[in-house]
Amino acid sequence: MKARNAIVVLVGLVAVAIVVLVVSRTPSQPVVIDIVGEALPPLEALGRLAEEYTAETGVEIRIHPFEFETALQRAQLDFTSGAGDYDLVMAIFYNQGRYFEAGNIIPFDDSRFDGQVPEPVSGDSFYPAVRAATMDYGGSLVAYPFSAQTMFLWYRKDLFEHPGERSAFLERYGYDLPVPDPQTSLTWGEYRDLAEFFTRGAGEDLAGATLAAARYGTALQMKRHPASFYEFTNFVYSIGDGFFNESGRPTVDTPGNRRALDYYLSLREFAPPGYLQATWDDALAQMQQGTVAMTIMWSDAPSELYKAESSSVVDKVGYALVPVDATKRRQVSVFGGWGFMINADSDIPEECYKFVQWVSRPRQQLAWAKDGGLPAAASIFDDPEYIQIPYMPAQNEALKHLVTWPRDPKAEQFVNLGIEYLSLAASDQLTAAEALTELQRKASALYDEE
Amino acid sequence: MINLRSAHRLLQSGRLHHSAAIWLGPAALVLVWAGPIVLIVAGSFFRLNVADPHALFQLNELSHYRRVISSGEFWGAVLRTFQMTLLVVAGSIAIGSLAGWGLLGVHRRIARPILGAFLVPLFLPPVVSALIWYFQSNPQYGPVGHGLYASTGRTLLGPDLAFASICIFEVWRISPFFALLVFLGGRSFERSLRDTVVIYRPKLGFGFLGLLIRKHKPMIGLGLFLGIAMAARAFESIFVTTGGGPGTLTETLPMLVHRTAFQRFELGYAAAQSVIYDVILVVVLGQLCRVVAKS
Repeated sequence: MKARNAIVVLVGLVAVAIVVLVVSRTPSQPVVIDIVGEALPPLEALGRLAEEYTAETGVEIRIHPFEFETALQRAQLDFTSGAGDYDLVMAIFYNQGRYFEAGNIIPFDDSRFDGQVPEPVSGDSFYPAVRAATMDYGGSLVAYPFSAQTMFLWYRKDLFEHPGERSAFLERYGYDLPVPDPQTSLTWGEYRDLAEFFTRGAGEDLAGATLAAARYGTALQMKRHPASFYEFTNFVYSIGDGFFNESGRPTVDTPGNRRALDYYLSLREFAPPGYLQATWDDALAQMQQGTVAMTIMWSDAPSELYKAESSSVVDKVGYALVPVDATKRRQVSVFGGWGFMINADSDIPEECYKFVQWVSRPRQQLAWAKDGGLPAAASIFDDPEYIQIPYMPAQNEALKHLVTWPRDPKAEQFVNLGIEYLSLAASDQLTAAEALTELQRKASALYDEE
Repeated sequence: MINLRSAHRLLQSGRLHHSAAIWLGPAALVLVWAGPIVLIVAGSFFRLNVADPHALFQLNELSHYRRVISSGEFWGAVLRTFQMTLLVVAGSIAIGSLAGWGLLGVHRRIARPILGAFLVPLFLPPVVSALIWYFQSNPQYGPVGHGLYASTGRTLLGPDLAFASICIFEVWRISPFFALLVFLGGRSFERSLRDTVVIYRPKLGFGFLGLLIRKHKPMIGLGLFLGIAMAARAFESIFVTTGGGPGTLTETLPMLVHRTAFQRFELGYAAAQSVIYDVILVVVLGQLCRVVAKS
């Protein structure tokens, strides 16, 4: 009898569980779109913008923010496992080829999306360079731009314009302290002079005040982390010869790239100690704390400089483009944009499509930009409200000079190799020439593999 | 196949007790315990490159193992792991034993709170303690890092000191375990022996130390075994503070396996690295057990 009772109870419990499961999945429950991405201001702003979408449509948007590398891992593991935990994936541009070729995503030009929204936002409405870098791959529309991150120069306007500092600079270097703007870039020679000039010890004067702690000319992001690779890419494409030739083969070890790495490493003496552990988070914090006079930084973070509770430099920062090589004069800005990709294992691809379409409309793009987003919709780039955002003129200019690298399936492995050898050079375990030679050997082997 | 009716009959007859049903629980336990190990070993024979799902389950036979054996990167990481483990275990034993030993002579009411405070690093979530360490190592605002930088111009996590810093951090984390072990071991002495220890500690020589070691051989063996296992698996401290850098200076085996699996997405190759590393660890720990047992 006891056994029979136990079985009856067990069967009852299973039945209840099944009923609960079925009830919890009835259509009356709201549709939820799960989005995975990097925890950064534009994604936080998307969460706030999405509340409007939820109010309009009843579709709930659930954001899953992670640290950069973790976000990439989450996306990859979700794709491979086929779990479909994330309906929309924020994909870094260089991984798009791999996701597409592996069949992990549904392209936006898939026929199932035909007629889902009355007037879809077309790819042509986005800034052409961003479109080229994030949307088209293999003849398909693989992604819609999420955010258009670029890197440009942040500098302490108040220090650069301070009369005492200007006259001291003129006296020491024999030329006027250059104040850059989005149309006028520094040269790398000037950048180095400025970095040296603004590096001061505790007890020295800076802009008329005696320093309680040391101040530095520039921040550097040299941790063994993707931040170092992105930062260095600006130097490689500006001073050097780039990472790839026209046929997509790695060409890392060139005289120009050696010069670029030598120059990059020479800035270490003007950076806060601990640059070997620093990423973009540290560069932002150093700028917020007023520890550094300038840095090459991401366009997704300046909004953090205007929060008085965490920034001591509110309204003291100016923006210009990445410095240029005095002879080449090549203006570059490394691209680090993310795209929305629809997971092929999502149960609700049509809902994802509709949400991306909604976010991509100019009204939403502008509202998002004002809250910390980095839109790619070209139609709002001249909007007075958009241009009024202090860093957007520099962002607009930087987009004209985007530098990317091939988005083939091996791109991420190439980036990881680059990170490894940059770290070896930054920590003086290899010379610049040795690091580039080794990186070239490994990268060639990678691209020679089947 | 046992259906409910036949199971009921078996129950009534009492034969179920001796039949397959009795093995269900243990079998489930074995499955839960051994399942991941079996999966890792099995996975090491497949390509399992997550980034290339078309060849995910392509049989790779022993090629991952051949690659691991001939990999300078792997053996470099093994060497660093063993160096770190040795330093950390030795440092933890020294500091932990001194602390535990010192507390034995202190009144219980005073000893307990001190020991409690000393144990905090052991119970902090590793990622939290790694973050604390990271901040205090910072040459600008970390008290230790800043002091060192101001006085010597060197940074705790720079190329010169990164490996040593990680070792010190791990000693800080693991030595409380040895302190606890020594303290509890001492408390478990017979009263007379404990009194001898407390009263004559300043005069005690190596002979008495030898006696203590012999008396507490199993506990010392257990301590060494667990200490090595803890130190050899150090991951969070490195991941949070240096990411394995600068260069490869702090890239131990757990870091390398993580990088292989989650940056390169080569799960099969990472599994082979893990298997070989586990074999080495098991052999070393096995030898250690034998030595302790024989002594």
